[in-house]
This record gives sequence, structure tokens and C-alpha cells, in this order.
Amino acid sequence: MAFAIGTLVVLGAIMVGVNDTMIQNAVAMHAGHVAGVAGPMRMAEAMRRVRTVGEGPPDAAVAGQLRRCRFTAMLQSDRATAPTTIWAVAPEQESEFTPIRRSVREGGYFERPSDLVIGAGCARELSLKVGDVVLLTTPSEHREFRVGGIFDTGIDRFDAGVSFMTLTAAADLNEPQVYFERAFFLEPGSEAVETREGIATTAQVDERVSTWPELLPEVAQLVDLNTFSMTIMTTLVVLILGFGVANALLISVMDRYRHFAVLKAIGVRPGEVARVILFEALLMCLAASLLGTGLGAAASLVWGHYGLDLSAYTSSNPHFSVNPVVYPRLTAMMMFAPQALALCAAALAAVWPAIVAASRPVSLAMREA
Amino acid sequence: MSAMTLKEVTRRFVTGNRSFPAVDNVSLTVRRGQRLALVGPSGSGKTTLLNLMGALDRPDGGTVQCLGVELSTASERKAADFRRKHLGFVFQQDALVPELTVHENVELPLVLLREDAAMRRETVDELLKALGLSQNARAYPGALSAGEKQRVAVARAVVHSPGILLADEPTANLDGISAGWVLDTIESLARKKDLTVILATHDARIFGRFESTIRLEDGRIVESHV
Repeated sequence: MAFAIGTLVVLGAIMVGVNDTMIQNAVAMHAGHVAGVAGPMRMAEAMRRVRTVGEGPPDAAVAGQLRRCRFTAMLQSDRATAPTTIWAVAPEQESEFTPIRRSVREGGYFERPSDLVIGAGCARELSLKVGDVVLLTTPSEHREFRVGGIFDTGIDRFDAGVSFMTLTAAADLNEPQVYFERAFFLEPGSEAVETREGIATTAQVDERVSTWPELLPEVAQLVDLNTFSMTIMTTLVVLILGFGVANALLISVMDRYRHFAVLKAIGVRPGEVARVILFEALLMCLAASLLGTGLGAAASLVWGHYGLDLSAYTSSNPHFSVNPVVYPRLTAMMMFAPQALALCAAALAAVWPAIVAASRPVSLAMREA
Repeated sequence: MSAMTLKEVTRRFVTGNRSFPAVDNVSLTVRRGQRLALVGPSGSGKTTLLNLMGALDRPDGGTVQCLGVELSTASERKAADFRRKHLGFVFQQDALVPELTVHENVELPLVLLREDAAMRRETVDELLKALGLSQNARAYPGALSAGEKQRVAVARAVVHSPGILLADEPTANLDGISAGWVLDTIESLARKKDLTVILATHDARIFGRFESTIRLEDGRIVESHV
């Protein structure tokens, strides 16, 4: 039982770690755990907001905030033209929370502030390499940029459709249809909905604040599905445990028919015999649960420190392409739910053996022993 | 008031599709303080009769009255409470709780009666000393000889000063010397605590030591010296 509960604790920690990694990968590629979007507006206004919009009240759940400007444009090379979404960013701050710098396969990540960093898909389509010049076209202007780096996140749509420039370079543009964005990255285990409420109170009137499940419903569903699967598995294991406990306890009670008969002969009531067996089952289960939880928690903490590289199983999965390493994480729910369920199962499993022992006539038990 | 009154008590058992009476229409009265031996060959109904007297089993017919309380129709809980206060049992063998020490085994009936710890300790210590078992007080039953175990079982049966001691073949598995110790123990405690003793046996060594004897055969009383 201790082994089963320990295993459930470890599996629960892995499940939480898988969810964390999926969410982290998804939000890092998009707009953080909580995103504020305002616009469209002129580039000058968007830049003014980048400089002036405050941090808001301190929130322990917020690990950091990125400010960006987003607009659509066409990229044109000697050979082809491709649509793209340009994200104007502050490179140093972006590097802390997003994986783009780590995903650069050719060139560098804004070694020159005036460069454009494009995705591998876009580079293939336009036959571009680092150092080439590309023409950026918006409804209001045409401007040439040098390709300073090519990133490859493994997410085809992202690599083909998103390009980056610095906020400094974007400030020179006269684009009229720009969205000002704030991306909030939260500490592990923080609740996005609660944080959104705090951010929304200080946001400007035209800023729409959303959480990652609202922006990425497919990831939220995957997380829910993962949690549901784990719940089903935990329930099944606990049910099997319950049958095991009932079986072991019944055999133990049958071995001690005479023992219980002697106790009843000296005046122990049938209800007291039943209570002794229930107590015995709960005590054994509690001891096994504590041992299992302790071992499971220790294993999860060690594993959580070193991480679990799932790249062999997730190389084609966009939710793990940026970072395939899962860090198992203990949560109170996944740590104590197996214990609580196992205790309930043991209590239920002990009912039948307790009834058998309590109701067996003393004379019959003494005669058969 | 008599210690035990049985009127036309019958207990039948079913084996396969055959029903047979283990105790057949037995009536008897046991006086307070009487020492009664139920004797007879194996299968004569001694143990069944003793179980009925101690409310460990229910008769199919007739009534069992013990110290004025009707036991044949009492609920399990009421019967358990009655045994707890008024009866002491000694079984043939293996009746001690192996996980408890000698002291704890003897103390058990007092724990069930919720006596306070100091009184329990004093009573048990005195009794073990009187029986010469003090040196075994911290020992577990597994470390005792068969005779010592039975003497501990007798001590446990009388520690709470019950009105009646029921003993089922207490010397059956003992050699002559050990059997003598156990019987001496029962007799001395019965005198000291003014117990009614009803003892089932087929051990011829015991017959002469009891003032009253009832012989059973096929569940019926065939001879009575009461």
C-alpha cells in the first residue's frame, strides 16, 4: 500500500509537472499567463504606453511583465512575399521569459537593435539567410531590414508567421494599426484568474485583460484532460487497494476468529470488536499512507530538481517543442488526495471483515478454531 | 437466589442434512458458591451446555437464568455486558492474547470495566503474587509453559471477582503436575472470592475434587450428584 500511494504521489507530481511545462511552453510563445491588449492605435501612441504604463500594485504572483507592440506586415525578398505578425520587443527582458533567444539557430538575437529576427519557416519561404535584406511593407510605409537571426521553435505556424524587431527600431515606424500588449508571467502555482482581477483594476479603459485559458483554450483542455486521466487512474488504484485491504483484512480476521471469540467471552461487545478492526485497518493504512507519501514526496522533490527529459516522446509535439523537460511538482491536492482516498477505501474495506468478526457466534468460533 | 437455573434447555446442531441435539431437554439448578463438575465423554454436550450457561450460545428451546438474569433471550450487547461483570471463563487452551503481556492479559477484564489504572495495577499485582506468577508479569504468553498459561487464564477469569467461573476442560492438555496446579489455583481462588464454579471435564483426576457432579451422555443428564 505504501508503494502504491508513493507511486501515486510521484505520478501526481509528474502530471502537475507536465501541465506546468505545457502551460509554460504555450504562454512563453504567446502572451504570458495573463495578457492585456489595447488597440489598434498609432505606433506613437503604442510607444508612449510602452514608456508610461505603470507596473501597477506589487503582486507576489507576478514574476515579470513584458511590454510589446504588435502589428501585421508583409515581408518581401528577391524571390517571394510572405505575411507576418511583427512583435516589437525589449530583447533583454524578453530573454528572461520567452524561449526565442534560445531558439535562434542562425545569427544572433538582436546583436544589432535595428535587425529583424525571423522564423525558420519564413526564412525558407523567402529564401533568406542571416545578413540578407528584407523589405517590410505596411499600409503606410516600406522599409528595409537586415535579417539578424533565424529562430526555430518547432511550432510551424509560429516559425512561419511571427517575426521580431526591437521597440527601438519600431519607434521609427509610422504604422497606424498597432496593438499595445502587456504579457504577465506568474510564479509557479499562482492562479491566473485572481491575478487578472488585480491587473484589470489598474488597466486602462481600452485594455482587455485575459488569462491564458481564455487565450489558449486548447492548452487548457489538454491540462483538464491530463488532470481527469490522473483522477481516473488514482481512483482505480485506490479501488484496487481497497479490494486488497479487504482481502488481507478478511484473511487476518479469519485467522483470529478464536482471538475475537475469547475477547467476546470476557465481555467485549460485538460493536467494540468491529471498532477494533476498523481502527486497525485505518491505523495500518495511515502508517502506510504516511510512509508512501513521504517516499513519494522525496522522490518527486529529487526528480523535480533534476527534471525529466521527455524529448524522446515529444519531439513532434508542439506543446513540448520549446522545452521538453518536465519538472515534477508537488501540490497539496496530489500529495494528500491519494492518502485521503486510501483511508476512505480502507475504512470501507474494513466494514465487511468487521461485521464478520463481530457477528460470528463465540461458540462457533471456539469450536472451529 | 440460585447462581444458575436451566429449564428444559435444548440446543440442536445441523451437520449436512442431519440435525442432532447437542443438549437435550436439560434442567438443573446450581447454588451460589457450589463447585459443579460436568462430566462425560467427548461429544456428550458438556461444552455446549457451558456455552449456553455463559450466553456464548443461544438455546433452541428452554430458558437459561444466571444470577436472576434471563440470558437465553438477551441481546448480544446485554449478554456481553453481563459476561463482563458477572462471569469468568477458562478455556481449554490458547485463550490468552499473544500480543499482551501476562500482566496486561490479566488486567483486560478490569480495563473493560473501566476501573482506574492504580486499582487495576494493585489488583493484578496482588493476584499474580498470590499465584506465584509475579516473575512472569512482563512476559508474553509465548514464553510460558502450558500450565503457566492456564494459571494466567484462571487469574484473568477471576480478577474482576465475577459471581460465576465457567471452565471448559482447563486441564485437558496438561500433565498431572500442571493440572494439579491449575485445579489448586481454581479451588483456592473460588474459596477466597466465594465463586460458583462450573467446570466441564472428562478428566477422571478432577471428579473427586468437586462436591457436585453431573454426568452427561448424548446431551442428556444421566447421573446427578448435586
